[in-house]
Amino acid sequence: MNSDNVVIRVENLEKSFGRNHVLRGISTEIHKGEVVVILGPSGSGKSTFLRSLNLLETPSGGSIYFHGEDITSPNSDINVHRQKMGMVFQHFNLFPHMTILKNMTIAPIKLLGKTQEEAEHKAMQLLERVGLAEKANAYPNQLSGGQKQRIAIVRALCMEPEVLLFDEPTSALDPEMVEEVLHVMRDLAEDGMTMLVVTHEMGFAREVASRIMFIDEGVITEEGTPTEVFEHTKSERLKTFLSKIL
Amino acid sequence: MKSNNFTKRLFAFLVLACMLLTTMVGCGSQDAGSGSAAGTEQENAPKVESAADLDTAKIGVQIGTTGDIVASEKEETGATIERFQKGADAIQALKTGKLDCVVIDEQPAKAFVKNTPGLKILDEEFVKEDYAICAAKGNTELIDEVNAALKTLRENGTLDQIVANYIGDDTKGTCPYESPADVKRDNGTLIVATNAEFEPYEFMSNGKIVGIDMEMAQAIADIMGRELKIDNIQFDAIITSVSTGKADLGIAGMTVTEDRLKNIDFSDSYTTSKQVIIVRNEAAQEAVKIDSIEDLDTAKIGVQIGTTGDIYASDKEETGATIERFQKGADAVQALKTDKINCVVIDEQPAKSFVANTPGLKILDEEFVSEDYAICAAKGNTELLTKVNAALKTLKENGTLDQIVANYIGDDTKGTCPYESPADVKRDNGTLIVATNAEFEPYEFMSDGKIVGIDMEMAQAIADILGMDLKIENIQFDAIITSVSSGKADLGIAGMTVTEDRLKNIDFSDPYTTSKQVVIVKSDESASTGLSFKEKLYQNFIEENRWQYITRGLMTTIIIAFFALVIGLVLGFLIAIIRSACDMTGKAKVINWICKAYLTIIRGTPSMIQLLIIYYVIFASTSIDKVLVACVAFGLNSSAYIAEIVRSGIMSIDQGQMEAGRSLGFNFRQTMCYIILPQAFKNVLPALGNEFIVLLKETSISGYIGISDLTRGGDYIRSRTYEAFIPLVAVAIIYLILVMALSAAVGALERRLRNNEQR
Repeated sequence: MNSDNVVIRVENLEKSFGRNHVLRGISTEIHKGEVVVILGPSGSGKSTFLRSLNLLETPSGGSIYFHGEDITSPNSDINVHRQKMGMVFQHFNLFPHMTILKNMTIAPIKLLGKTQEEAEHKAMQLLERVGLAEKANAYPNQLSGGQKQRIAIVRALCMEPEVLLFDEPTSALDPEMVEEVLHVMRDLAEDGMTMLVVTHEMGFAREVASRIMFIDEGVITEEGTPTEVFEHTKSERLKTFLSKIL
Repeated sequence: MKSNNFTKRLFAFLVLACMLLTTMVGCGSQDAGSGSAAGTEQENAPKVESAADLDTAKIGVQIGTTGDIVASEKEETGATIERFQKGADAIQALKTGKLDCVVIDEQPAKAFVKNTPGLKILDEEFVKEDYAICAAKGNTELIDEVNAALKTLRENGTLDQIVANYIGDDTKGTCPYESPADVKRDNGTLIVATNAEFEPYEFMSNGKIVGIDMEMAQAIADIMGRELKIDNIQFDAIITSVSTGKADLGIAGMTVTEDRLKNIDFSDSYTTSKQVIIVRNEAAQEAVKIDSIEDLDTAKIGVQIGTTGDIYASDKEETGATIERFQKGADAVQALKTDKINCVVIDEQPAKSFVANTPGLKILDEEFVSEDYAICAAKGNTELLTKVNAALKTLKENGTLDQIVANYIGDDTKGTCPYESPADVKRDNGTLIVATNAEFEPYEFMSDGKIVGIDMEMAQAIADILGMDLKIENIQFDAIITSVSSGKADLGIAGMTVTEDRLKNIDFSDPYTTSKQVVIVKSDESASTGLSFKEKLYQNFIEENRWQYITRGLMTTIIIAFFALVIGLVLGFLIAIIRSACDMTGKAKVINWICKAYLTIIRGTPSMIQLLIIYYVIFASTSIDKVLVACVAFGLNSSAYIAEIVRSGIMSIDQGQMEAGRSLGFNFRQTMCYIILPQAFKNVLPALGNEFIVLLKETSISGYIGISDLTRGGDYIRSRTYEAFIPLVAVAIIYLILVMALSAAVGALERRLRNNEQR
């Protein structure tokens, strides 16, 4: 692949919490339009890896390049980079004191300098796309979990990000609401959005992912297309993991 | 829904108003009662002279005693029974005129009367009764054992010996019971419940519980071969304690009654007592009457703190006098009126005003001390003092000083010749700040909302001669010297006498007038019946437009509270954000440490001390507005509390909110402002409302730096009308209304914020 297409490059990333060495040197490249699904057993460091990419966790070592700029360097303004790296959380983290519309428009207005009309127009478009336009003036606690997560996704989209990071987006949902969220994510992938997804939804991984990344004990132990990883599994650890999950 | 709420609130307010009114009427009638007690006999002040008079009297008893039981029978005939936890409390109430008599056992009665001057026991005895020891119902084995022991003690004379050790002038203290040396204590512990407030049966002496019952209990325990343990509890808890087995026996001068027998068993009686009646001894009250200066040697003397009266009266402490120091002369006079003290030592002219305005008081003819009044200035400020002395000389020579004095003293001349500044006076030489304490008629006092008096006109005349603008600072008397020496005021003029101690800190001008200290006592003549409630209202609020003190004070209080609140909120939020930012990121430890130190100091010291420090130390010598000082002081104080309240709110917000904000690209400050604080504020609003209320009421101490706030406004009225009740209650009601309005506002805001989330 062309190096111009590299959106994020990670070099030898390390992270420790006290004596707990969670990430032990991860290096990879994320290309434009890729959908990377990150798998791994509980405590393997996959969430920490994802959260390090937009510096919600400060790395202990190594570098992260976003469009070639080292965002771990003290001279880099992370707030500007974060605007281009949307994030969707397991627990939605909508702002309970704001309407849905306000949740979606506050960042574009305050950070991108959009007018209220512009921001609301864009937000309404996105709401219609996920079928929640009638909820624009509702408050988060009036929505179901699936609705909240869909809002969280479009809230991130309002900032027109180049990459979307999903941290277990369906883990806190009731089973019948998982599909509506995955549907939106699938849609986004088809539109060519660059996505990194930590999830246990194997169906989604198999179907949508362009690359599966298996992280175990802080390092990437296996990587490849879904077919490579699922059909021709190399490592014993991944085999055990898949047998437990499938 | 809304109107329903309103009705509810209106109803609550009406109930409150009714309660207040009842209190007012109650206090009003009590006032009349105490007034008559000092004067001649009146119908509504029943005197108890025999047991028959108890039928309609106010009787004090110790709760649960036989005195309580027998006195309670009198309730049918119209007597009022007041039940106290302790006999001593009942005696205290009797002494202060709240009761007509106290019914209590004979021996404790003797002890009380001996220790409390002005009380006596009626000769006539009330009821005879037997004391016995109680044990749990059905514990006949123990009762039998106790009875056997009692029999032994009676037969071998030990019981008589113990009683003789406590009762009887010849034998008292001569023959204490001592346990035999060879006693064995193999049979366990004997727990005896008692109430050691019943001399001579059981009482505390040198930190130990002693008395007839206690020695007897020891003797019984010795015979039974058990270890004695005394459990000192409330009298009305003894029976419960014994019947639940917490104690084996109850020995507390208890009489056998039918009701008690239902719950516990009694031993044979060990002594006979009687219930007697204690009343106030009118003759004894005469004894503390003050007819001459010599009588001061052992009297309770009231003075205004820091005055020369205080200094002279304090000399009497060596001879046994008690000095009570009041912030204001009026408070001392109020205390004299209600018999809390025997006399007041104060300067002659204010004394005359007090006596003129307060029926039932008089000034002793004999004067106490003669003294000179002078003007004080900061130590070493000889330049100013020389000028003041020159000005005084001029005023004396041209007769102005005499004219000013005549304008305030002397029946013929009073009010006829006020000083007026010459028309052509130039005021190029700056401002002359004069500290005074306007509660010292006729030298300085409030009239029609202005500070007037001899000293004030003289100050104006001096300022005119010096070619300066005059500014009067009205502060506490004991703060004047501090104020002058710290440079807050140039001169102190407040009827001050030159004393050695004062000369150490300040310099004085030549004397401008001579006064003397006199003694105010209660006069023999009956107090006039006093004003009706309506007349009092007129006197306190309408006369001389006194309501203005309240309204102006109210404005000041609101201004101070509001700006202090603003300062407190801004500073408090700032500190809370800094503290939580440091806690979250672990950075900027030094700033965090400074914030913590600030919180510790502000929350660890009284707000009044902070106010004084900020006024006298931090803002010393700069002519800064006092209201501003108060705003800053209360604002700083409140900020510490608000900071911690807000921090708890920030901490209560889920970490995910901060992450969500940051992940959208907001920096820390933006996330705080747009996302964390609005939620935190809503969560802590009830606690903040509470802090606002505390702050509002806290401002009532601003009078200490001489601000005429609402509390001080009420004080001015009190100092002029010598009436405590109406001004204090009026001020209290206004604070109450302010607080209720504030609570309602916070409540409304709370509802609005809540609705926002669940529309």
